[in-house]
Amino acid sequence: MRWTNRWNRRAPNPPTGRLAEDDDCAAARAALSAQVDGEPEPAMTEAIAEHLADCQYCAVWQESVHRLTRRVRLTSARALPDRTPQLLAAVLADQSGRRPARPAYRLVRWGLAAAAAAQLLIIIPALILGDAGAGVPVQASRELGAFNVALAVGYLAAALRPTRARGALPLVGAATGLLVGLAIIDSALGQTTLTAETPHLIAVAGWALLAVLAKGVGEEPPGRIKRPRRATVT
Amino acid sequence: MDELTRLAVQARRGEPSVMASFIRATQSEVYSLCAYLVDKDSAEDLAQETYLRIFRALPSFRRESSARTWLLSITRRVCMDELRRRVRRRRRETLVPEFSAEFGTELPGSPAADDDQAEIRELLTQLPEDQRSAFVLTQILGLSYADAGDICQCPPGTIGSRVARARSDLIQALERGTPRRTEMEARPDAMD
Repeated sequence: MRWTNRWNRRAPNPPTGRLAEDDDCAAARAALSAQVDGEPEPAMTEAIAEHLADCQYCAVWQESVHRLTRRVRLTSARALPDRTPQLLAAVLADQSGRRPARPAYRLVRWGLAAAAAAQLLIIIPALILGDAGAGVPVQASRELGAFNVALAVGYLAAALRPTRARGALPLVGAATGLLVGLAIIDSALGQTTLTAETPHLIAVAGWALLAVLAKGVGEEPPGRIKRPRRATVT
Repeated sequence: MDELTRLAVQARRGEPSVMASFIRATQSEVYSLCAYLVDKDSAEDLAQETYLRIFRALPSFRRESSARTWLLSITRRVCMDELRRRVRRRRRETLVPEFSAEFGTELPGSPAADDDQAEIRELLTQLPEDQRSAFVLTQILGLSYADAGDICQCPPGTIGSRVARARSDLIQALERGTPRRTEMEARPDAMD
């Protein structure tokens, strides 16, 4: 029998479902599989049709797929009991347990977003134009700008998703703490004035709001500020 | 907009009768997906967890997308979370052997296939997760490759090759133990 010889030539072991698959076989079977499902892709090309006409293994595979498909389609239809009442009750109980976010909590988030916006507005000249004030070199201006933008992004990220507030807290705390401490020392030494350092108040406000948010998150599932993104669930 | 998507949009208002219709229209697919991706015993709990997440996420549901693929991708995510939890739990149990007895029964290969459906389900649990999702979504729920791709976040072509590979593996598993020669002799038309 010729097929026995073919087995012996190409597959010394008794063949199984995968049937000594090579790359041609894999492509042919993907096309066959799509055809069974009525899908256009991957398409049945001429080369694949030739392979199928020639390959014993794929012919057996095709037979097996038809049997498998019939079997799955026959077994998968099964009526289930209607569990709507239980499911609805569970959903309603879940929703009544989720209070809408407190207005104060919402305010903190919007405040944080506002701090981010203010921070960004102030820093744009330094970042883009490289102009952080008289006598500051361009390179230093840009670094200053990048650092402040990073702070603003941190505020914004926490405003959008309050669970991030806790993580951002140490970084922002260190930055604002240093800024404020050094501003006080410098103005005491007469190297600057407190008025000149007032923009740092934005950073301080941001840090304070962040701290409030980080504390609040543990107590209450956060509501979300709507984001222009694909519907996701957490 | 299809009927189900219309229902989903209406259900956002929180009217219980509309929510009930939405659940009634979708529960069997949600349940099946849970049963096939995880297992039948957990399917009820997973379906409930899925509906909690669906209704929490409903306010952010965009009416341009189809409600069916949207809710099935949430269902799949719930199942994936559960499978990951189990992997973690099993890993812990390998460290603490005395607790492992409880899970011995659900390891692949051991449960008796009491009916056809159970046998297919059992075989599916042995497939890699991505192949199983692709196979269940297209073959059991009857979704197109494109919709299954939306749910699994991959291109339709990837679904196609996963389905093909899943078929190869299932055929192999189903015919394991069946003498191959008998198969070939019973099929003289398959000779060249």
